[in-house]
Amino acid sequence: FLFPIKMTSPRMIKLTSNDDKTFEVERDVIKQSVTVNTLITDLNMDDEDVSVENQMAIPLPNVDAATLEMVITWCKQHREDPPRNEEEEEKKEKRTDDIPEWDKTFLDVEQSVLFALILAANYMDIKGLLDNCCKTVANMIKGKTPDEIRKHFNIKNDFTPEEEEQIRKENAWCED
Amino acid sequence: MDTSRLRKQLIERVKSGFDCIRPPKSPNSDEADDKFPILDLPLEIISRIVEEVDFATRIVLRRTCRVLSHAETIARFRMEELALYRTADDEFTLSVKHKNSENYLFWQCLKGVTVTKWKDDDFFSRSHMCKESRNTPFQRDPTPLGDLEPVLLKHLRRADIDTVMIDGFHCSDESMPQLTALLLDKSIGYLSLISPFTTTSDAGLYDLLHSCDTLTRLTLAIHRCTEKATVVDRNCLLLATCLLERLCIHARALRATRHSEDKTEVTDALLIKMLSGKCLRLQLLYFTPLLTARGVHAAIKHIMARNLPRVGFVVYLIATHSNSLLRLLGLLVEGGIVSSEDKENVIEQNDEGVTVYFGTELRVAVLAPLFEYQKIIVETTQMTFDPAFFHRMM
Repeated sequence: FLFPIKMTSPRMIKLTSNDDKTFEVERDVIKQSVTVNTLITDLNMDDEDVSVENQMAIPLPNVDAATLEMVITWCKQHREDPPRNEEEEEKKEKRTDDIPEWDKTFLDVEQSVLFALILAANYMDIKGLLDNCCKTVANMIKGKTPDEIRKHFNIKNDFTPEEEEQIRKENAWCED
Repeated sequence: MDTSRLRKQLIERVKSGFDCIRPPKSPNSDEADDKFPILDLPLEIISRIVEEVDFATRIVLRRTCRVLSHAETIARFRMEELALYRTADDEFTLSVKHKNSENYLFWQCLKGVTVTKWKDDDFFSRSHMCKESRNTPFQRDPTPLGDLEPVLLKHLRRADIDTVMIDGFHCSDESMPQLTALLLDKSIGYLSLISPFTTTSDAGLYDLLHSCDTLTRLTLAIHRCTEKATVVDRNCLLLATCLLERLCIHARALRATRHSEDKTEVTDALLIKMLSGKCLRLQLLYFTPLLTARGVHAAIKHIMARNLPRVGFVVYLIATHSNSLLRLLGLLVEGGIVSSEDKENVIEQNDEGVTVYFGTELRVAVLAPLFEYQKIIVETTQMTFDPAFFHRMM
């Protein structure tokens, strides 16, 4: 006997950026955001049999449309990633040379864009994206002198000569 | 095949795909961009970035600017544990464990001078230091922090430390206020004072409890005290159980010197009061001469009635009392002492091998006797839901 197979379309979730642009994203994709996932669960949105047109959009007041679009793209790319084990992650040795090639290319953007992504990943609680963004910035810092870091990030040296001397003394203990 | 060329092409293709969603990068993209400088990020995120860089870079960051220096302090010097072991009156070893490291770093100081430092895997271990510290004979004269102070202060100043352990600490009326002053505003969560000698009154401990409002765990192990010394009195114990989540009081001296007038008597009634506060893990060592099996049984029932998600209660009980306790609990084990290899047993009241009280699982472990005492451990944990079990119960 052959039974008709009911094709179910993936469940969609609506997200609104702080500049009032609405994005539709698959439930399975956005589950990587702990913030959004918790909201969906707390509001029982998974149980509602409501079409996406009539669905309430989740507002994200701390994320603009351009950044949200990038976040969604990243989530789509990583939708098949295994769930993170935070305990294991804590035990892992810290390293910055393990950013996946796709992410390296994706995160090769202007500093302001990268920092906006970091804020969005932090707000939306997307650990994988936040990790890779922070590692990207860490790679920009590594191997540079204080002057080079100041130049790269447009930072003013606000130490007085006395403070610089004090820091030098404080660091002496670990420079042997 | 030129794989590097293919890879480059692939990256270019991916990038062109990205460009529809990302703003194009300027030709001088390696330079800072004024629209959103790094220093506008919240400090916690900057320190999160700093956590990713190596030790040498962190030192460089400290010299860059105030914000990065501050972020670096938060990131690098957030130590998990700082411990001082006194191996003689003027000699001590400091150990530090960073939260991202499995290793302890030690500095050994003689007469206030750092003579050597090493990692725990290539010289003495932490447990070795603990043992040595506890076996070191101390003079009867009070020796407050003394030389320890500048070193401890130096490390506390540059660190955001969760745990402070001072092994070989002399609790005295001079040293306790010094210690409190050192720990003030340092966000210490766990303080462990392993003290082979004490001449302190309770005032120091009261002050410490009131002043260090981030403190959630306290271990106070008094090995010896003078005859007149009041180590911890009744009100101080009650205050500690109201303010702290975990309290471990070890007062072997009280048993050895048998202070009949000592205020530290932990009676059955006081035990119930101690288990009624904020404290979720109470460990009482050698307080038991005045506790009865009935009192401990009542304490266990009291813990159950509070229906807390997790409670730990450890007490030493005289062997004969523990037999009575087991009888009161209805545990039929030969001789009243559990002799299984893991030295613990779950009370069995139904076919499933678990006892259910108020939605929690009760575990009572009776460990092998230590001298004439037996250690009673009571734990309640949240019970795992088993549909089959409930189906059979219906």
